[in-house]
Amino acid sequence: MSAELEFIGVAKHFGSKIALDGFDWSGGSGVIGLLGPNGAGKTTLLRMLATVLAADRGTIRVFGLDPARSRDRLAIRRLLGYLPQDTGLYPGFSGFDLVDYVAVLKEITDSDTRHEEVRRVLCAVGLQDDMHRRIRTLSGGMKRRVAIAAALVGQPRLLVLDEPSAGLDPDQRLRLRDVVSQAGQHGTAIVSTHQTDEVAALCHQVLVLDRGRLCFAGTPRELAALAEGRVWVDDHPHPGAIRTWVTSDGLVRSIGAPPTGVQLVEPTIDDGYLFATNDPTTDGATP
Amino acid sequence: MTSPTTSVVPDNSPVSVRELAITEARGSLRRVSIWMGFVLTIGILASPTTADWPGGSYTEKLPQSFMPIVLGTFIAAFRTGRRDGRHDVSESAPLDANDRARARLASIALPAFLTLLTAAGFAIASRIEGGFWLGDHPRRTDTALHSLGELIQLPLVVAVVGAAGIAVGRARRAIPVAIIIGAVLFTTFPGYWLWNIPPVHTITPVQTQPLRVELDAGTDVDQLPAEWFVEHSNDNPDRESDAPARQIVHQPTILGHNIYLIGLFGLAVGAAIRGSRGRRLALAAATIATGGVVMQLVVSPL
Repeated sequence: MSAELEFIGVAKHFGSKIALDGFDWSGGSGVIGLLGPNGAGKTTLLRMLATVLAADRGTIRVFGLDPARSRDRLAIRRLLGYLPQDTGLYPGFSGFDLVDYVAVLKEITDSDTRHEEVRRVLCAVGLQDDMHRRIRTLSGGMKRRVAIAAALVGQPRLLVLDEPSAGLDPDQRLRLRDVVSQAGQHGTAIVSTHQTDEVAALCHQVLVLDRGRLCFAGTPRELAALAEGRVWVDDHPHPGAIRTWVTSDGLVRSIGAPPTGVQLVEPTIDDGYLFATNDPTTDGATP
Repeated sequence: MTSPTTSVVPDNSPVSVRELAITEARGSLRRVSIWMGFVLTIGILASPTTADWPGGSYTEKLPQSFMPIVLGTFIAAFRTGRRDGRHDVSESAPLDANDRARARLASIALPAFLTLLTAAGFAIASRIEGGFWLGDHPRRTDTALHSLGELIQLPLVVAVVGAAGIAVGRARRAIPVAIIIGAVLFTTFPGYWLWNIPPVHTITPVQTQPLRVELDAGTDVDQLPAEWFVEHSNDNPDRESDAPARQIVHQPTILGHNIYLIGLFGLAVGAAIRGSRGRRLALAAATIATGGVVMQLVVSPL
């Protein structure tokens, strides 16, 4: 049986800028985290998955369907919920009207069913008391939640979220985790984020992109393990470390090639991410 | 996996398009520019006309009064047509861009209806008040009334600019094009007289009547048919000679102009919905518009 999501040699250029450069990966089911520095190609990848951007080269399969073919693209869109990075909400709409509008675009034609679904998703993101307020009067975090609700409408089999937690307070981020993990139980959710703690808490798989290429694919634990034996604490900094900071208990935590005699500690996803994306020739690390 | 609540619909489902059309039509109720245009139009219609030459009030009333709602409709339709440009969500939705544009044309219904209502109200009010001045004494009337053909072109023009607004909203360089069209609309209606010169009067957005047919310089006004309205007082600043001119509300020319507007509407709708269906419609509509222009050129007494 083929993987739910499949990318074979996918490339995309914007003028002279390479956004994706021969991206290969297959997998799916559950929550997939997408990490990478700014300009790594995460948004380009998600836009391709959401069928709004075509690849210059390579093949993409979503549930075995090819987004390059119009019939397949339509079938994918019927299974899709998408939160773009730039939500571009209509400021004159209320949250309810906006999500209802998206529900109409998603072909939920029965108005009673649609309104019930709109209320469900707005409650799921904690906007039950503010759903009839104009979007222009909402805070940045609330606007983000309206856009997340719009992505959730119709219980999509594939949920594509581009930086969903941007601008959310800690409580809302926890609520978001609940929503995304539920979506992951029923289908596939792919989430681009800069929050590694979110990846650790939510994701079954994690992909790390850098300069349009896949640097890592595996579980969050495997990502952290990239830094196994390369993270240590001591009472002073060492010149061989590529990143160093003083922790809350006053110890100096360092990443890199550990000197002898220091106390190695359990690496985190942040540490693994650094090794996945870091160029050892520039920083001296040897992942 | 929980089954999605999405209804099972075939491609290009008319049900989905209809549902979006209802949503867009309802959304047009919130467009401030339409309501501002509507209120201004009524305000200008209700205020007295300052034109003090024969046919001036009759000619000026319609283009000057209806300019605000025409412009307001264009702004609202442009913003509706531009919805897709705001974010990727629409692009990732099952209802494709051409179907969305088709549904968005429903947002024209409100301003077109308001214009029809206003034109009807104006027709009733002017009949109660008595009418307008055409011609000079002794071939003068103060009870001239705008005909159905003249009034019907107003909702037609609103429909044309509405469809054009949606088409422009989808264009790649939408904002500069919209600014140009908006400026043209803003200046065209108060400057209607610039469009009265033949053959330009056949392609003007609102064709103002009466047409002025210059008579020979030595014409004896008393010998002309009794039902003609003739100006000969030199009060009209548009007059180019001292010869008298017949003022005629020419129904065949108006009919040709309305056919031209119907063609323009089809052309704008075709441009808005694009695709093969849009191209076919635009081609047929261009033929109708051309037919309307040709008809005016043939029948017009100018």
